Amino acid sequence: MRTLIRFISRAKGGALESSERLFEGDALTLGRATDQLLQFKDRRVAFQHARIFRRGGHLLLACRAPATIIINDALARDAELAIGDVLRLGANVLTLMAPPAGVDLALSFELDPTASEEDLATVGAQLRLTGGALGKRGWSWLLFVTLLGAFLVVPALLLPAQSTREALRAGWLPSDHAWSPGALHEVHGTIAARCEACHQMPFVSVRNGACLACHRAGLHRHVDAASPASAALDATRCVVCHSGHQPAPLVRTDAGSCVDCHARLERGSAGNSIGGISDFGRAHPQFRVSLLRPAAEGRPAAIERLQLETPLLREQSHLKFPHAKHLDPKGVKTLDGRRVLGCPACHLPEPGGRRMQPIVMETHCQGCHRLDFDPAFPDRQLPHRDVAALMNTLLEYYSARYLEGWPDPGARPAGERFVALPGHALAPAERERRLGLARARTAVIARDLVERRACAVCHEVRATPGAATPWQVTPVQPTRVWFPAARFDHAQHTTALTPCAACHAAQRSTQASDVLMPPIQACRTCHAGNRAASAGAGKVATGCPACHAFHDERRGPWQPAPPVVSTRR
Amino acid sequence: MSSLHESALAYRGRRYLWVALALTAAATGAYLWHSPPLPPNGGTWLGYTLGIVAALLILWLMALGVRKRSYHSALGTVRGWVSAHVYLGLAALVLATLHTGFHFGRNVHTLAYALLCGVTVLGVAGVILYARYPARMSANRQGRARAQLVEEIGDLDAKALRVAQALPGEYLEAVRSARDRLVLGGGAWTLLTGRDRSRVVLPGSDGASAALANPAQATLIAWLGDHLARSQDGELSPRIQSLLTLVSAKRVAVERLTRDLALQAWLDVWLYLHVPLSFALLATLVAHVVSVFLYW
Repeated sequence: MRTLIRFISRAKGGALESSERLFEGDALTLGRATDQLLQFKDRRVAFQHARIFRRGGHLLLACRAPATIIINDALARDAELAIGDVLRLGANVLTLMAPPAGVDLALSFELDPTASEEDLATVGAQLRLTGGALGKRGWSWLLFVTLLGAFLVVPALLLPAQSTREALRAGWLPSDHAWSPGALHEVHGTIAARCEACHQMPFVSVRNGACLACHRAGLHRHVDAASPASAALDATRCVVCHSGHQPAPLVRTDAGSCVDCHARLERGSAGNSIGGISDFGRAHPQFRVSLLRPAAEGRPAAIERLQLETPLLREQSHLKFPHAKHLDPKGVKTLDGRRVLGCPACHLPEPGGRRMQPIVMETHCQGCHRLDFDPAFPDRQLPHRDVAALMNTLLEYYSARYLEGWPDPGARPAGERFVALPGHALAPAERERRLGLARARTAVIARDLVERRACAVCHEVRATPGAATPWQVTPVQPTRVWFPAARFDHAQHTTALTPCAACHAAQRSTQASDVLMPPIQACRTCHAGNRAASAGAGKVATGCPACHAFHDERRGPWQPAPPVVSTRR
Repeated sequence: MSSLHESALAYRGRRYLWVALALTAAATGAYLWHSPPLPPNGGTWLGYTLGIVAALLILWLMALGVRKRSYHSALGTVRGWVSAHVYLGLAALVLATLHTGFHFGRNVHTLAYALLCGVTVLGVAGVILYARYPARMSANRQGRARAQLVEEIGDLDAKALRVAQALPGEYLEAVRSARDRLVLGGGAWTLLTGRDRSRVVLPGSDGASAALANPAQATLIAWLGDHLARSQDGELSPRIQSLLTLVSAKRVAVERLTRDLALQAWLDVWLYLHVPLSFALLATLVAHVVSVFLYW
């Protein structure tokens, strides 16, 4: 499109001067920008204010919104133009003229003489960076307010009401989830994203009530309710040992919170040995085993806690059992010849593997230590555990045998063979004689069994002449739980590093009264204290919870006291 | 070459470098020595200590913006403050890193740390910018002020118009349009890239004019050179030659000014990033501290 523009200016005297220029372009562009065909130095004119172009024989004007233009004293944005139209952009006046031949558009351009000087001032170029609409300070404030609002103020203000809280969490805006230091432990999956399940009070550390809302049952005390320490312990906060968020562990396994008290407690005060403990490797008392002290003159049987490695420490189980003999590397004599026994021949783990099954005579011993009494009937065995039953069995057995004509019916001359005629009972005198033989036989065999061949091998037997049963066999009371206050899992220790003999010196034990529990030094060959690094390389760091429980099932259920103000440690 | 900012780094024998190194070494040593029962985190006594020291450092680092505006302050020299700002800013990042215990997640805490990293990286970029650009600007301007360059361009334009008045109208129109359509500076992108969006209206071969791009006056110079080459008029040619000389001088001045504006823009844009980002950091730092205790 070819455009002719006549520039008209007024000289000081008022005389009009004009010059013409021809422009080439798709359209006549009007604006303040430098790339416009007709450039105005007028602040009221937009950079790209408008364009005039031809379409289908019509001359059209289109302003770029929001710019507008005044055509013949009427405001317009888009218009069809005709010859003689007067366009005003700020102080600029354009008049459409009839175009001469070869020109598509002709107009005259002059400045409105009434326009002020200021409107016509040249627009200065921007030479420095100003940071756009806001400036440095504005951007700073915008970012500060936006981030503080999004990440703190808004979530905090919407916290108290469940509806707003949930709405914020469901949306894409930051919620209080942005405050989470790490994922919850998987076991707390049911809490999901409800922070308020634990964080019930703002600026107050998670309180026990939040934990007890779910964990009301199954918690146990740390000390007996009557203990003077119980009040303070009842107020202990769960979060001292338990943490909800990863990477902190769900249950602390270090000694830290235990030794806070146990390092300070006085050793031996109140008859305990729970004081002065700060580190398994360096400051932990020798293990104490629970041993039965049998009843004696004037005092009942009782459980005693006795320290290992004290001289004359004996288990009084009333059993006779030399471990060494049974573990003879050459083997022990059995019916099938010599057989080498290992620990698992008798000691088998309970299901779960933590403890060992109790030793039962019938299961573990009787295979070798048979209770048969008559070589003629080797499969016939006596009942275990009850001397009266044993004697009754013998008496019944021999009575029947003697009444039948024993001993050795086959060796008897044929004429002497007693044949009971049908309908004929044994003569009373004969019958009594034979039963007398049976009683005598029973007494001899029983004495042999009890005092020499069977019972006394393993048991303490005491003759009680004149009593209903002529012998008293002291019942065996082996220790079932040596360390009631500690947990030890055999299954966790079945490694090549730890054969049974590593802890239990059974190979050298000649008496059942030997206490074969390992002393603390045995554990310390592998287990260091709280910090493996400080105890030397190649050891396992072991905190108190590895063996001891805070919630002690022996102490009865725990109903924690209401939260005490300022119990934070 | 030794600019103010370089000497700020070397302020008093790099005193604050040693302070920062001592702080960093102490914090790192404590972190390595400390073996808390739980994985290292911001909640141990060392974690709290590192966090408090780092937060106080950040507040102090931001106080530089206040100090440099307080011209009557007696709290040390601004040079000393800038020196300490640079070295202790780097130390703050080390302390904050140890404070995290190297646990990161999608939360406001890690956002604050990421912003601190961003601000610190920008800070290092700023040290480099301010060590190099002021010297480059002086060399470019050859001792003149920016306003002098602008005046020089205006002066060359006035001279060119005077010369052009004695030439045919097309020359005057060309020179005048080149003056009117000279663009100095502009938006952020134009300033930073040093683009020259100037234009000039030149008559085409068929007599119709068009507004053509005229970066560094190159289009006008080519047009004048073309006319000079074709000019047979013994009276006209020397005038066109003078015009060409004037526009060439204007070209040099415009290029110098454009480069000056670009260098200045890079220094400016750095502040526009470093300062607002610091405030973003401050906001998330406040959110971090408050939220930790709000959900204790």
